Amino acid sequence: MPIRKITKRVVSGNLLIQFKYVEEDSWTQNSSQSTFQTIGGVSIKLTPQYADSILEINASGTLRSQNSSDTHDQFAVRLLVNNSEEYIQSHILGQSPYGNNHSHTGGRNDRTAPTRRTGHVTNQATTFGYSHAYIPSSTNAQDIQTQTRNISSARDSILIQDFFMIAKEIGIPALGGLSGPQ
Amino acid sequence: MALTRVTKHIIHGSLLVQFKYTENSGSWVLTTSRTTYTKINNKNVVMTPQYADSILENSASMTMRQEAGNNNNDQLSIALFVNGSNEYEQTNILGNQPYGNGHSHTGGRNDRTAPTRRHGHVTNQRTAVGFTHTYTPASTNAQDMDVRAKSSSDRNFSVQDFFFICKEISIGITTLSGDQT
Repeated sequence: MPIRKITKRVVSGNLLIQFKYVEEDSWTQNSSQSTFQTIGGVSIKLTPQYADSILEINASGTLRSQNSSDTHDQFAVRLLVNNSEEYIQSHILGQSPYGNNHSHTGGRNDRTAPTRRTGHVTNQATTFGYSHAYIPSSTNAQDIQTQTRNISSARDSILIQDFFMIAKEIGIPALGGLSGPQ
Repeated sequence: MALTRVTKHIIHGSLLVQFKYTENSGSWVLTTSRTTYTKINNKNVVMTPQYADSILENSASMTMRQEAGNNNNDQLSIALFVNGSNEYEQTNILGNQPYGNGHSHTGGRNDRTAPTRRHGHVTNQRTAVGFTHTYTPASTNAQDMDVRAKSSSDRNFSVQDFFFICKEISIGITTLSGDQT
């Protein structure tokens, strides 16, 4: 058998150490809407195997404002880790409805009246999503959740659908400078 | 040269086995059967898992626009289909309920207004759309993956700048990866 020469080649890179995910089909926030609450009560508990690992979080879903009357509500989502806010997206949906008000009462039978406005928008819906990464710098368990709230009002319910969240632990390579916050 | 002792050190982790993607740049308009999930310009990714316990990770992004020029409350949806089956869908990704007080009476001389007329309208809404999803096919059969879109009403809508990525990720240690729901 001919002899083959073995060439040593060093390849440096990251290792994907953990990959966990959760899903929530449909969840309604119908009380304390202006306070952040965890979507569906679902969370990912991930204990880093290495203290210098990067944790990458991706989440997506849709949000629908359940208001039946005129509103200018605005909404926010955030990533919560061990009950601390790690990342927030404010104003993921919202607008200010606008229309000229009538200036006079409308004559016989009050066909119109001052302050009446005819341009309204209700039941807005949108998709939302975020990507985030951080280094926990410990091997303590990380309780990872996504929360929502109505910034503007506790009046209107929030419907979250098709929520999906992924958490990954990525091992940082021995070579410095190739990974991490830039 | 002095001899160096080689020490065996085992590191556990997952491996990115496959990474495939497809794109539909520009605009694709759905003009027929708009209430039925339709593949975005017939774009798809076929991936045959190398390992039966691998995780497949999918991510997609695009923008969508209602092409209906009249007042509507159409709701748009997208879905990830695998081998023709709905694996994951996002409903209510765009839409609202336009609303305004209706006039209560005919408007007198020359009918300046009339009952049921409403002046609050919204048209041609648009939004950025994206999703991330993961599943375990539990086989090494080919996975034909595509993203489909539909509307709640049979009116035109468009999808623009569609990009779709599929990855096969080996599972590593099972207790460290997988569904936590």
